[in-house]
Amino acid sequence: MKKINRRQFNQFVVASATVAALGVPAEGAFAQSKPVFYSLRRQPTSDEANTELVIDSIEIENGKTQRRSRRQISGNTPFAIPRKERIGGFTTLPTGSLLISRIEGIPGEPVIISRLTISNSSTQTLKVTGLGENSTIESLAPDNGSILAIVSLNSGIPPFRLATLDPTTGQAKVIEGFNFSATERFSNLTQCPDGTFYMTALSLEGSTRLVQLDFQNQKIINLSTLRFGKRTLSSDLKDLACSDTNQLFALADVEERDKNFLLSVNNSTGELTPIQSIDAEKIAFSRS
Amino acid sequence: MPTSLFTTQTPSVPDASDNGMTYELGTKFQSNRAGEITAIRYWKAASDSGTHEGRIWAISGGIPLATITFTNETASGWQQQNLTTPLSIQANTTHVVSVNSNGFFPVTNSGLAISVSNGELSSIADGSNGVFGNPGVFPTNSYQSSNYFRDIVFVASNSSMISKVSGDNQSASAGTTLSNPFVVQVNDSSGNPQAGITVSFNVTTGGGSVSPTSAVTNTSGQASTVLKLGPTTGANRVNASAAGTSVTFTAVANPNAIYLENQKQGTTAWKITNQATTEIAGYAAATSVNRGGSLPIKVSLARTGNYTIDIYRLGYYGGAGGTFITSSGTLRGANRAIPTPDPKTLLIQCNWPTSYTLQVGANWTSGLYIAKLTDQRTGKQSQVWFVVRDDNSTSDILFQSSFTTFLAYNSYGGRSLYGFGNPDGQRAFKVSFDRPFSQTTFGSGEFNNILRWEYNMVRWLESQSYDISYVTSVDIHSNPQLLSQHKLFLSVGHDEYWSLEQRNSVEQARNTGLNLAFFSANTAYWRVRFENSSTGVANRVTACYKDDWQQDPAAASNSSAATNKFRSPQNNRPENALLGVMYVADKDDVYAGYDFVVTNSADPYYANTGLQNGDRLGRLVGFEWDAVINNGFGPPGLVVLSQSPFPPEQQPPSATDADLPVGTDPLLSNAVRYTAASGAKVFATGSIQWMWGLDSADVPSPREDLRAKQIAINVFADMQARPLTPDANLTVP
Repeated sequence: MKKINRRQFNQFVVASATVAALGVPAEGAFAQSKPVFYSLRRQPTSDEANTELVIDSIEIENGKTQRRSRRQISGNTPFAIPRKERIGGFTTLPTGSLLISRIEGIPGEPVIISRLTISNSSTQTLKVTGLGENSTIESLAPDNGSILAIVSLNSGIPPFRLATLDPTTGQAKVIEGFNFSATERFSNLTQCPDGTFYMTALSLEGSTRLVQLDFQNQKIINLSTLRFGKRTLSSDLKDLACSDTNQLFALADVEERDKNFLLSVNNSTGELTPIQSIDAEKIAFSRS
Repeated sequence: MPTSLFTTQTPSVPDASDNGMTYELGTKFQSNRAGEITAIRYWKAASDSGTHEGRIWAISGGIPLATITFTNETASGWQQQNLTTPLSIQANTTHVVSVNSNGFFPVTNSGLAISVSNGELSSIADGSNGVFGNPGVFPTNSYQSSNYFRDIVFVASNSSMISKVSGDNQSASAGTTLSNPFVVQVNDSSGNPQAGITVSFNVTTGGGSVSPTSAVTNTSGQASTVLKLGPTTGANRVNASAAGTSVTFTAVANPNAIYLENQKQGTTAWKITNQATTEIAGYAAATSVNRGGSLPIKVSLARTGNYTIDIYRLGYYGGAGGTFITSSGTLRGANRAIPTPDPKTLLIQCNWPTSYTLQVGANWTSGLYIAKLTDQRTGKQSQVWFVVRDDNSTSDILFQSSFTTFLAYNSYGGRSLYGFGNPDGQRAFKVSFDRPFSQTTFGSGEFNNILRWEYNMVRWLESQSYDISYVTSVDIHSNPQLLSQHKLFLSVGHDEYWSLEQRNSVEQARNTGLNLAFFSANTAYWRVRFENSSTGVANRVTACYKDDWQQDPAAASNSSAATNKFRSPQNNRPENALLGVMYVADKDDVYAGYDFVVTNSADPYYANTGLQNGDRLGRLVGFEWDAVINNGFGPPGLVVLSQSPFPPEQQPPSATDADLPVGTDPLLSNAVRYTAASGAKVFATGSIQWMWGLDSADVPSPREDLRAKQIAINVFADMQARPLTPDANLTVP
């Protein structure tokens, strides 16, 4: 696996919704002795129709988080996206870029658009191509220079497929043969440094499960049903990310709606252990 | 006043002989009032000499009830001899009077072919009156309904006389209640009204029922009852009796409304052939409307343009499954916004303006209805579902459509009560009927579609002309009085979400004798709370917080209000207390299923099926199933009718319930029945898709089975609902 140059963290700047490249303000490099991950959140703006993307760089130490850095996603230029847009996926690329999938439209609305916003030394926003008109990019994970994505063929709801995605062009292609159950939700794709891809699955009457992708046999492997205390989860996680030490972390509002917690995940038992509440919509780990 | 049967009649052959043979000759007769036989009469042939003995017999024969020897006879003509002791007889009870003949007798051939009546007395026109036999022996033979002129003298009791006042000779649909009561008048022998006399009403023909079965006359001497006609067409008769007198009312049962409705031209035009995703969508302002009411419909188009609304009713209709009712004509529509969800509950209420108000005819037949929306710009189609009620109906079956469950899965605007169907995986705590059903637009809706299971049940029931009316689950919540008007409550398919009020009402109805048939599974699993819409309309929002019930302000300080599972510690109302079974697992492949395996095949519900223990009905179990659970809540006297194991060769179930008692096997499904203390019968299939054994229209792998149909016939008959036009190869108990 390609490692991220630590200095590139300074360049995690996502620009405007246009494809124009923006200058990236430099910042001193973080000391990366501890696992660091990034949390993405939105904050209100003076314009009610829009929100501003903010990324926090956070260090986890002794089971607690500590914010290392907070900045506007585009440095001195706030990066605004429409309030009604949804963030599908958020990940870091081996190149040091940040990649965000954004979805305009909800089930029932006549227009569904899936966009990618990519940031490295410059920032681009691309319309995703190659998928059906109601398809949306719901989850992202780097995969040997390409991007593996979970795609909804139906505006964010089942059925789902795996797809490859070219982050430089926005071109997506569904992977044929790896079909998911048409009656389940699949989301929160992430890859650990050991190469394992994890995601969550949620069926009709069931609870959210942690599953593993088995590419060789083109199937999923059930690992555990996620639990918080004695409760299983009937809503999905908000996100799932894997640390340098192959530890999975989850983002979920397990106690109160929209009060999100960062939680560590026991892969085999599904037990979620709270670390602390966190104002975030998505999370992603750095790679060393 | 003494009365005899024959008055002016005379024999056509007054002095007949059968080669001098001696006979016992008799007449069968009845009185419609109780009274006493005081004498026996007979017409003496001029050549008939010797001794004559008269006898009164019960219709069953045996020893004569009275015997006398005639004395002081004249040469011929009518002879009369008083009984030593008058013989008392009851009203409407057949007896035989006989007198022997000694070689000669009077006769009129066919003289008793039709009934001879005089006052209270009448002869029996049964094709075998009069009668003859050997002298002194009860006569049972008959020849050409010949009258041998044997008669009695009768004095009616000096008491009451009943007569008909009104209600006779009505007609109505089979299985329905007559609009006017049967009214009788009871007077004394002087013609004065008698108050306080008990009148008994008994159905003698047609299989219907009366209410009340007895009544006490009022100060005018009148009493009445109401007849609910039997399930089949033809004559219905009710005998009203009091103080030894009686009268008979007659009514005619015509085909029921469901039968007549299904004679209409069928069509498949109600089906969506070019489903919209976003081009057109709509919803109704209510889940149901009573006959004669109006129903606002709200429609949004992706782009401003023209559209039409066509109304259809679902049924059998010769197999087409629907019939056209009316059309809106061309309407102009525009795009309507989907509001932002409430941040705490994710509730979305569209509150669009009314696009069209449907006037429901007072003569529309209760049923499941579809308003088919067609966008003329694109040709894309979607549907609005609603039910037409008949709140005055006393039909045998009350069919509940599970709108609360359709709503729970409705993800229009991106929010349902399920994470799996929402774009961000986060489930709503509240959902609103003021949204189109996503199942008719971008969603497939296979888990909760009115057309998936209810449609098939409707088709089969209406093909057999069962007497049915329809309501939604919301109606049972808001107007449980409807339950008391019917013989059985029917839950069909996927009936997962119930309010506490709904659960209580159905249980109470069972406890007062209402039969319950659950051709459904996963039933009454989640408890919901109905709330007003933002515009103040009642029961337009359902709240169901599930495992997050502590976030519900209404339950935070009162855990018994938790909108979670009925089997939860907070509610402690496991579903098997009502159904006998409860949800255990599901396999989210709607059209798969596994075999229904028979047990207790000697049970009456398996009558005329030929099924034996271990026999299978193919793929009638799924996609969710219930089982008998040992939790202490199951009703006593539970009869297990199936033991259906999930096939080990299939991929495991998609989910099993997390709150089952330790030791529960979720890989087993049971169908059950029990009889409640009230006498109410309760039956549960333990499977959502069992009715596909009755009708498999639009099911990719049909699985109709004559044995399943016979089981359903047996179940409904035990619950007093019988089909008007059953399949010829089925036996209706």
